[in-house]
Amino acid sequence: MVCALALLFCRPVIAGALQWKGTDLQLAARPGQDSMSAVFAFRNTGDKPVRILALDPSCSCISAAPDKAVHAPGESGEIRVELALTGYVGRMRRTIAVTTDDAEEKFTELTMTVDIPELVSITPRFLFWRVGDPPQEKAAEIAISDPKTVIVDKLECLNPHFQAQLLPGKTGQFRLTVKPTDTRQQDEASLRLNVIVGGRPQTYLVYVAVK
Amino acid sequence: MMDTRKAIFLRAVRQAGLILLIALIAAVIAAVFRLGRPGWSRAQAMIPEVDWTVVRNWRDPVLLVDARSAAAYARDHIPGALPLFGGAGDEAMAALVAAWHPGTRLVVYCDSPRCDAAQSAAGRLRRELGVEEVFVLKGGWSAWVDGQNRKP
Repeated sequence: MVCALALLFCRPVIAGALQWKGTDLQLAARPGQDSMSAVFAFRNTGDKPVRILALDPSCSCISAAPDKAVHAPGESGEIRVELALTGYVGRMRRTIAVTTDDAEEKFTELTMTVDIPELVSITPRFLFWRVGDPPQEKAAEIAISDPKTVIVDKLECLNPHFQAQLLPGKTGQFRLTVKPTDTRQQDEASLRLNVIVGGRPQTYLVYVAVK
Repeated sequence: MMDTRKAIFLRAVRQAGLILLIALIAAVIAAVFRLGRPGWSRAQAMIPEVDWTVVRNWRDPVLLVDARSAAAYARDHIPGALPLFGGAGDEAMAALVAAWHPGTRLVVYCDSPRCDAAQSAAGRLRRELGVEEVFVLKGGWSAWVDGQNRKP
């Protein structure tokens, strides 16, 4: 039984002739990081050369390329991956399907799970009133994940038809309240929440509209 | 003779029990450590998928949201779709909000059926914008292109 369990969880992953150092990478991005590189290393443990025929990423946010197409028996190689992170927060999982001419194992799936920190979460990011609704105040909750790194500077609203206020709550938490002055006709604005992240200014938008 | 058969039977039962035990232990470990589960399944409920043939027959207005890379969107996209990641993320979101009106359904698509960016983007739109009617286009961009190529 011990042998069976050992076989079940043993690493590295052996798939046909190519022995991968790992096919499932767990990565952590820095706050504000635009892209990330990763490497999937392998070795040809078979007795024939193996040709990588295709790399098929699950998303156009990934570019992947092998160090070379054909790997001789005993030769090591790698798949280099570049992952675009802009616009993503939370946990993202991306895969690359590798196709080779290895008779035993033609397909291998490489997986990357990336945790992208969300410095500022605003829920909801969009406050709206239907035309003719009473012009009542609505609110969004703002949470700062790391109040030591992220400092809320100020809130700007350039449209005078929306009255906005930023009210501090518990540490790292704020309440944004917005009240339209008139809901009889369509109107919209983007409120700018300016924050300082590690000494650098950043802006988060909150959308308000009468539609 | 009977004793031999009984012994064989008991041995078979013991071996089957052992195999089941090993499978059970493996299943418990997989469940505890959540091995192989997609990332979004831990964070949020699945956004419903909808086929293009259904979307194009909806009477309610539809806003298509392209959750592929900015470069892929620039190369080509479904007519009328807005990019989610074009330029700065917030600018794209502002354009999306400006185009949305009450009653409009959002349909998010990614590159292919293997791409889970549409699910995570749709979940984010539902959560951040508070829009309930958010869907994921089944099969994504590749299925839409296939559908166009199959047209007579």
